[in-house]
This record gives sequence, C-alpha cells and structure tokens, in this order.
Amino acid sequence: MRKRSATVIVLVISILVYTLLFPRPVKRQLLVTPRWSLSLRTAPVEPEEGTVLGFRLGDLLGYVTPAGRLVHLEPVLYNAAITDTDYVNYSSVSQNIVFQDFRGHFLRAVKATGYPLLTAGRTFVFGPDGATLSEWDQSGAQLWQNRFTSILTSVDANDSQLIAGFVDGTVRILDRNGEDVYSVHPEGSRLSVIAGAAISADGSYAAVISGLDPQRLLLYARDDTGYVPYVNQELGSDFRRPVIVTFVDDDRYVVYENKAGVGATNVVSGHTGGVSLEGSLREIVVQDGITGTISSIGNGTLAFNALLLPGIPLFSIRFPGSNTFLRSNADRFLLGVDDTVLSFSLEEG
Amino acid sequence: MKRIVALLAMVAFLGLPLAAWQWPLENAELLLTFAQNSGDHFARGVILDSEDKDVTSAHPGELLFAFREGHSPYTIPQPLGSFVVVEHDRQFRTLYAHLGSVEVHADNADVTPETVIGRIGTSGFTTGRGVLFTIVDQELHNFVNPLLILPRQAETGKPVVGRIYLERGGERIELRSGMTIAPGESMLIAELYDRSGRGGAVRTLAPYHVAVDVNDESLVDLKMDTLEGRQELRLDGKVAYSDFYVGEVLVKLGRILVSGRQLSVTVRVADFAGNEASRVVKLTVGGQE
Repeated sequence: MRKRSATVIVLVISILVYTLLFPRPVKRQLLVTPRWSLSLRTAPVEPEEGTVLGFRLGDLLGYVTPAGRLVHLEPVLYNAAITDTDYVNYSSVSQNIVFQDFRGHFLRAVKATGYPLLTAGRTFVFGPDGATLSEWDQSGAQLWQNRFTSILTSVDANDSQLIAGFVDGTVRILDRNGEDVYSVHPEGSRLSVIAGAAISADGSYAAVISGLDPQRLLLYARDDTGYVPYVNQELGSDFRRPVIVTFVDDDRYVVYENKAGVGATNVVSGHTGGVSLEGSLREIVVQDGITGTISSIGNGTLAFNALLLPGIPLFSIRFPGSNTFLRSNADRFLLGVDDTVLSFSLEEG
Repeated sequence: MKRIVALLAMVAFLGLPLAAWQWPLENAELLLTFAQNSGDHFARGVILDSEDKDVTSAHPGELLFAFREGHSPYTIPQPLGSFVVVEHDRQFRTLYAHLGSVEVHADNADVTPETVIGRIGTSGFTTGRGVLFTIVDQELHNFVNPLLILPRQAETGKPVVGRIYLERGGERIELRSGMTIAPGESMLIAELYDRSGRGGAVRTLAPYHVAVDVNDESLVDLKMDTLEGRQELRLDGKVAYSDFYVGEVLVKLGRILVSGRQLSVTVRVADFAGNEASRVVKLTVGGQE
C-alpha cells in the first residue's frame, strides 16, 4: 500500500516537473500517406461518371476522380472558372459565358460580357471596366448588376451574401438582390484600400484586410442593423496587392496572409495566432483540423506546410515547382505541382 | 471639378507649370478619351498607346495597390488585367491598367515620374495594346479628365458635327437647313466626334466640349471634365450615360419645343486642343403637330 502511494506521488511529481519544464505542447506526430499520383503528361483521360474534383494547374484545367483517374484535361484559353460540376474556359475578350460539364460537354451559355466567378453555387460576372459586378441565374437571366464607382480588389460570396472590397477603401456587403446590406469605409490607416475580404458561409462574420500604414484585420459580426466591427487588429504588414483572407474550419477561424506567414484569428474569441512561413502564401486548406498551406519561396521552389490553428507548426516540405494548387477532398489533400497531381492524407500517428 | 478648376487657376496665376504631371507614356497617342462611349458606360479615363513600352507614374506618389494578372482561388478575375494604382499627395489616385507587366513593388513604394511602374501590354479585357489611365479625386470621389491635368499635346485633327436629328414619337428626322418641321416637343440628337490619329490611322474620339444654341438660347454647354456620383457616374455630376449616348457617336442633346415660325439650331464641338467645328441648321416651323 505504502509502495503504491509512493509510486503515485512520484508519478504526480514527475508530471508536474515535466509540465513546468516543458510547457510547450509536444509536436504531434503526423503520418503522411500518399494515396496516388498522376502525371498530366502521360495519364490517359478516362471519361467516368460520379464524383470528380476540378482543378486548374498552370495552363491546364481538368478533373480527376477521388481514386486518381484523369477524367478531363484541356488547355486554358485565357482564364477559367472551375467548380466540381462545371467550368467556364474563357478568352480575354469574353462576350459569352459558356458553361461546360466536367467531361467538356456544352451545358449552357450566358450572354454576359466579362469574366465569370463561380462560387457558392452562384455565377458572378466582372464587367470590363473593373468596377461592375453582376449576377446571373442558371437560365441566363441577369439577376442584378452594380456599376460601382471604384475598382474591385476582392470579392467573396456565400449562398445569400457577397462581400466586395474596393481600391478606394470601401467594403460593401450585398444581399441576393445586389442591394447594400452594409457599407463601410474603415478609418485608422494613412492610406485606404481593401486588400482582401471574406464572408463566412452563414454570413455571420465578415473579415477585411484594410489600409496601409498600418494594415489591419477587421472582423465584423452580423447584428439586427447590419454588421458591427468587433476586431480591429494591426497586422504589421505592408501588402500593396491582393491578400489571402478566408474563413476555414467550419468558420471557426479566419486565416490570412501576414508579415510572418499566416495568421489565424478565432472568430468567437478574437484570439490570434500564427505560423511563420517562408515565402508568400499561395494556397490554404483545412482538412480534418490540419491546415495545409502552399507558399512560394522563389527560384522555382514551393513549400507545403502543415499546421494546427491557430499557430502550431507541424512540418514543412520543400519541393521544386512553380504552378500549384491545393484542395481537399474527404480525408485527403489534393496537391498539384506543375504537371503532377497527387493525393495524400495526414494522420496523427 | 471645383478642385481642378482651382488647381488650374492657381497654376495659371502663379505661372507654375504642371510639370510635375507628365504623360505616363512617351509620345502617347490617344486611343480612347474621357467620357467616350464604352458600350454601356462613360469611359472613366483615357487609353494610351506608344511605341515606348515603359509606363511611368504621371506624378510623384506612392504605390497603393498592384494587381498582377494570373490565377488564384483568392484573387478575382479582374478584366483590368495587371494594374497599378498610385496615390498622390492624398488627393489624387492614378490607375494604369492592361499592363503587360507590373514593375513596382511594396519594398520600393515611392514612385517618381521617372519610375517605371509597368510595361505597356494587353492584359485583361482588351482588344489591343494600350494603357488605361484614369485619375480619381480621392476626396471628391470624382473621375477627372486626365487631359485637364496632363501637359497639353498639339493636335490638328478637327472634331466633327455630323447629322442632326429631331426625334419624336419614335420617328427620327434628319434636319437640313430650309426644311419645314412641324411644331411639337422633340429630342435633339446629333453625331458628334473628334478625329485623331497618326500614321494614317484615324481614331474616333469623344469631343471635349459640346454646346448647343436653339434660337440663340443656350440649350447645352457641357465639358467632359469630371464623372461624379456615388451611385452612378454622371458627366459633371448631372448627365447620366443613358441620357447622353444613343449610339457610338450619337448623342442626345436635350428636349426642345419646336414652335414659332423659325427654328435655328447651332451645334458646336471642340476637342481638348481647342480645335472647333460647328453646324447650323435653320428650319421653318409649320404644319400639324
């Protein structure tokens, strides 16, 4: 009995000593399991029904199955808007928005001039003046059009709202009819400009990267009157270009490019963390609680970084490449690098 | 507009050259001018071309925003292609769009008129090479005609007053001096454009100044100085696109009441270099309304 008590006391003291001496969380062990890879140069195109995953990699757009079969591949004309069911491959002077299914078959055409954005099951078209946005339905009818007085820098949408940022520093949130739900011109920076804007899937939160000197992260929460700011955080960054900002992890976090790499703010608590990354952030995807990023280091080198939000780095791998994409599917990451697409999973070992 | 007029007046009064402003391209040629018909809206700036590929800042300032054409799930498909916005003295912002490349970076954000901020190109929604250049008055939220601020360029091509029409009840009647026209309210419409060009290529541009007198009373006196409006950009804050253009160069000049015995319509246009043209039609009023 006395021996057992002594063992318990030693164990408790050991845990206390260990906790005091090593307060940082122990790095988790991750098992990287490759699932498949295919070369876009040599893989046969095998038409197939069922679930497919769309991608854009360099000058190619295509679809693969979750099992790694290439279903469709074609060169991008000028740019492309791609979803998992259909795509628009358009030229620089685009007078018609032509939808094709993932096999490349014609679906429908919308008589709209400009560049399409397909997101949240909605079709938006950016007008040639860089300041006009319209939404179109499946039948090709225009739902609304707004000709703004400033140039658009960023747009994000869910199924009922759209957030738009502008060169003049204005942010507007529009409803499904294109009407202003909220409009704000954030103050507090020497120069006003919106470098990034995002809205959560249910519209409860909006995030904005605003201004220069200082550049700020602003979070807005929806209330009865529209949106109210509740986080106003200086970032220390000086990005004079579009900045990645997006809601992830079931909208629990907003993640964004910052001076050090990537920042993450819990939308409820406002608690902020971050992870240092080499190079500039290109892609960010959260998969089963593990965040994967791609950063461009320069000289034809990319890096895949795995981390836990809000700020625990797990590992980083460098590899040669310039064109890339990263997306998730079920429990896997899908990574494209130049002419290779590969699928892998990250599991805690 | 008031700010621009005040600025220009001050410059003229003090004898100061607007030397600090310069054309963003050497030997620039105008391909499209301010407030020109751009399909369904007024052009917010000018489109310039040049054999010289370097695009420089029109005025000392600071890089505000640079957008590089490319693809990313996080950047919008911007029809302006690669573009640069420069802030000047917290008053004006200039835009340089459809660039072939962006040559200015955040770590060297201060720009001078010698700074190459990009190269001329064809990025974005454009049918040919050219730089879209716009000036925004950041405080008044106006788009300002760049020709008001940039150094004057000599130009000899004359603007044109083409056909003049009266439109009533869905019918458009071309006016010729000596004809008889029935009394009644009508919309006065005219073909107005400027001609400019180099090396044999003739461009059709919008005129800078449009004035109309009806029986010696001023009906219209409009200069393409600014586009203003929070919701909709209007010429000089007053004239909406849909109230102005009815065709590429066909312009609604306003409603007139045809009455009395004689009707004299004088339409005058001028380009920014001061070249003028005018046309007078004298009509007899008679017949049934």
